[in-house]
Amino acid sequence: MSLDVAMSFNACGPIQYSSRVTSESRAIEPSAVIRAIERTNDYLVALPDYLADADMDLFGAMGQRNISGFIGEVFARAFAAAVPGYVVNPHGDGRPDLLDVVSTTSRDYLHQECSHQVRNRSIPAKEKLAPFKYGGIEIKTTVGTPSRTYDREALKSQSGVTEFDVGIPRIDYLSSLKYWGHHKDCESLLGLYYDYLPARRYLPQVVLAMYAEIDPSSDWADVSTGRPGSKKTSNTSLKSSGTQKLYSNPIAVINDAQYLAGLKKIGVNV
Amino acid sequence: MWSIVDDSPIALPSGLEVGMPALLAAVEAVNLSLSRVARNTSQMAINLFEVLDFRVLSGLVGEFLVAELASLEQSLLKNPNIDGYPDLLDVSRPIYLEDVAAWIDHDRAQFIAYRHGGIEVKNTFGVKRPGEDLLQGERRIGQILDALDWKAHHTETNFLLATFSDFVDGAPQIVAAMYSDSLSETDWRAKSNPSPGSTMTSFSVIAASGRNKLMAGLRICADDPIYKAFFGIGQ
Repeated sequence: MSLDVAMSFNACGPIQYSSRVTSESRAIEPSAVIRAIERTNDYLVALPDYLADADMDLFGAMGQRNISGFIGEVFARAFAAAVPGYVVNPHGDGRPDLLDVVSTTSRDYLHQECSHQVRNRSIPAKEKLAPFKYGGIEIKTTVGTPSRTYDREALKSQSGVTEFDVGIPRIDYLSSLKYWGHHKDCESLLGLYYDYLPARRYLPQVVLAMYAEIDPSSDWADVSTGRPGSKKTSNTSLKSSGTQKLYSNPIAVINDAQYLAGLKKIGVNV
Repeated sequence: MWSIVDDSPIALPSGLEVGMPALLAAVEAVNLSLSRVARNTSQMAINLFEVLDFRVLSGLVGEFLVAELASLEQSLLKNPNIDGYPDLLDVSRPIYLEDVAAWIDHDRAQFIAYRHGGIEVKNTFGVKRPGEDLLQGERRIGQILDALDWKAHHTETNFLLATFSDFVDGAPQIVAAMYSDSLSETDWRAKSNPSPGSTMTSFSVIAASGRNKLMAGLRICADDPIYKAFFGIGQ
């Protein structure tokens, strides 16, 4: 594995919120978030080498929507490894993604109340973990939305294609960072933005983390559930009010003039 | 290690045959590769197989097997078109190779349905029984339905090398492989078309008749009583 070009990050401000157990304020320093981003990015760069025997374009096979979810999963684990007091929600459909187990109360509750014993196996209890009553941090990931009227000729001369496929950097064409979810029960939101970095073999790399306290009743659009009997999963997206909260509170951002300019242009306070 | 259920080769209409030694070597190499990926990624604190969904994971197992067979058998070439069929092109005759050489630079659409045939490779992890709690990365045998569920992009899929994988020590491992050269369109259920906007492509699932043909073509099974019992070997 070789990391082609070292990436550096600017620390912006801490993640701050109040514990649901003690109402104490929590502050997670940007340096810890940067550690989690770097660990995530190193992992994403290493994967193609690990899978070289399969001669498979892993990210191409995943498709854009799955890549975003995958990066969120990797980041959650990297965050839990980098920041004491947070663990990945053990239930696949649990929420939030990262459980706040800083306090003894929440830690004991997780370990003693949140699983069932089935044939000597500890199975996560969905009813206790979706949601987890002591809260934590929800992670959302986006590759960003290009402008509807982006310059297709410029993209073609730059990348040889006219659409934003997997592996095509978007920063020069970015219009907004849109976050999607399956439910509105998401208050402490860590929003990640990633792009395909030429200096990192056009692999997906997290370049920005933002944080906001979201109002579930007003910052998420109404949940669309699809027609009765449809297999479509429910979905919602963060409204402009919620997005602006994220934009105004970056935690860490890549130290790169092109990205800083592109993010400033859409209104991120970097 | 393996129970050889049927040592007849995988045979194609051209006369090309992939014998048991090559199949065993390929499967064992794939399993080693998958274990290595689990070990290497775990050393980076995140076992890849704990975060990949099954659709991508089955695709990955298939890609490993395709790459191994192509490297072991000179007359098989990995399809250069990512959307192509079959996965492994039969290049056992000079004329096939000439066509491939001509198309590879100028007419890749020819590989969507390669006219000289070859082998399609599909993997499944089986379908969890309703009500069972299965953790990601946990051994699935005993908690899946008896009916394995290979999926294909179209109902013309034939000459199918179908594998069944399970998790062993946190890594996916191929535990059985079967082959059928007699699948027809009626051996696949009608296409399921995902909703507009979904990233999933349309697919067909094997029908009971197709599954029976594959089961009848079982070549190898892990030499473990639980898998042998699943396939009814030695009963």
